[in-house]
Amino acid sequence: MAQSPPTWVRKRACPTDNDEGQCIADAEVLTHHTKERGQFISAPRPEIPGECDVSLMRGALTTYEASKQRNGGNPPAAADVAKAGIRYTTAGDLRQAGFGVIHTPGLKGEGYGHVSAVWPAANPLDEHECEWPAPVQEAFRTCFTEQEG
Amino acid sequence: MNLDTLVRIGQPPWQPTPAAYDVDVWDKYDFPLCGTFRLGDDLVIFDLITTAGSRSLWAYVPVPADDQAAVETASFDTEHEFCAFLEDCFSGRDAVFAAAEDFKISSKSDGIPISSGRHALLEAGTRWYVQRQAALTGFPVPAVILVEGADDAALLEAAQGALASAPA
Repeated sequence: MAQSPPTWVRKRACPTDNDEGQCIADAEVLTHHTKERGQFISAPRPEIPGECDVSLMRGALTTYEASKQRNGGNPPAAADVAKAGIRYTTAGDLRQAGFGVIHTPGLKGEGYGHVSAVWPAANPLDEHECEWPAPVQEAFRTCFTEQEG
Repeated sequence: MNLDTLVRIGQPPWQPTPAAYDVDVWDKYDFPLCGTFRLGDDLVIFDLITTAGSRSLWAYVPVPADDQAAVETASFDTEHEFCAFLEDCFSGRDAVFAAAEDFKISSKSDGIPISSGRHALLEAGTRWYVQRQAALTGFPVPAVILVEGADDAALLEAAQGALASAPA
């Protein structure tokens, strides 16, 4: 039987997470950025083929810092920063709600802070659902207790 | 390879032609920001230059056959090393630029030579897009894009300004 190709999360996880360790401690704050304030993604989007995780960023970033990271590391347009929103959670809150939290820096090295939230958490590197039921989406939303902008 | 086949209007920037396959995302946030795809036997790198509102500017370059294995297995310890590698992939080669609206490609360039200077990709991409918009709208071309070796922040601002002000 043909073997399935690795998931993006498996392929782009940091070495620690890839070796079944836990790179991101429970207490670590994570930032969720949206281009349109108040309109956060709370599940993978069916219209994006192959999307099975939700992107987050390590640390408590400002709106400017988060906007810069999603602009490929380049300074964002001032109008984009003004329209953007951020909210915070911790890795522990997400894990307690049943989500896997994996550091996925891609090719940018371990210092780069892209994080993938996946569901369910049982085998977060290799098995995750791309369609999150409504209660799962609600559970994801309620992990974020602080919102700025 | 024929650069005219790299990008098609209406496609997502990370899969810029229906014939693209094996999309390998190197970096993302909500959407792929850079990576590679296959087109026939060719390997092509895509890279986001910048966004402004719902618009974005992208660059594409085919990888020479002899370099494909090295590109496909590349790994980096730092973001700085990664960016230097990416810059090197475009340096001295012909790239194609594309602008997208809501992550659908709305315009594209012919092949444009990229010099080996720092920020050469940003400079070439900005110059293409700003001059295209100026030709379409009659808006004056910002002086910064006519200066060789212009400051990268000023170039980025010019690109973002042109993206934001382009007619719908």
